[in-house]
Amino acid sequence: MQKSIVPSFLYPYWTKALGGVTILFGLIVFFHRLAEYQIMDFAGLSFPVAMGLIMIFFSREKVYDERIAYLKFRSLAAAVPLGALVAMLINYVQNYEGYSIETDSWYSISAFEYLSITLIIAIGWFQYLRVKE
Amino acid sequence: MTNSIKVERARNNFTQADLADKVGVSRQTINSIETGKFIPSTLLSLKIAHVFNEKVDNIFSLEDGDWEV
Repeated sequence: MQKSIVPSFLYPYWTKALGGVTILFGLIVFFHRLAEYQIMDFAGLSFPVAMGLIMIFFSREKVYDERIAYLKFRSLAAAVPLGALVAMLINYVQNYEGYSIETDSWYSISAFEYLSITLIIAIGWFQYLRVKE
Repeated sequence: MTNSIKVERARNNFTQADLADKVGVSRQTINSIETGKFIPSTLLSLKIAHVFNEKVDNIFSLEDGDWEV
């Protein structure tokens, strides 16, 4: 019999710190490029941020039990469609007339930007549920 | 679903933290179960009943609303 419903594929707790360092590294590079070269590269920033957020969200908590697993699932289930809605709104505001003839497609924020938005919502919602419930 | 964990805890002189330690979850999880905000798995329900030396259906019981889909 399976011992627990808590998934065993989660990253260890210390991965949260690694995720924080990854995000910090991305932010330092982003602001350095902004200050030195006036380049505001959100697509470039989104990769380390998304990787860091993955490490933070999908790692174990100090006490990881079935309630935490349930709250994480709920927050992710809410964040995925909400993140898609935010991505669509950003696309609408930023790239309303952004059709590209060359690629025959509409401009959109990158997958890593979508992932970052979704995981920020998921982490925020998870912390809220954790305190409220 | 209702439960009598609070009553059983009082009877056995356990705090929420004591029970949480015995079944391997956090104190907040026990609190959420007691207040009906979280429904535990079968495995956790069995563990809780075992700690109180009771049958599961003496601790947890269904309400009429639980049958609604």
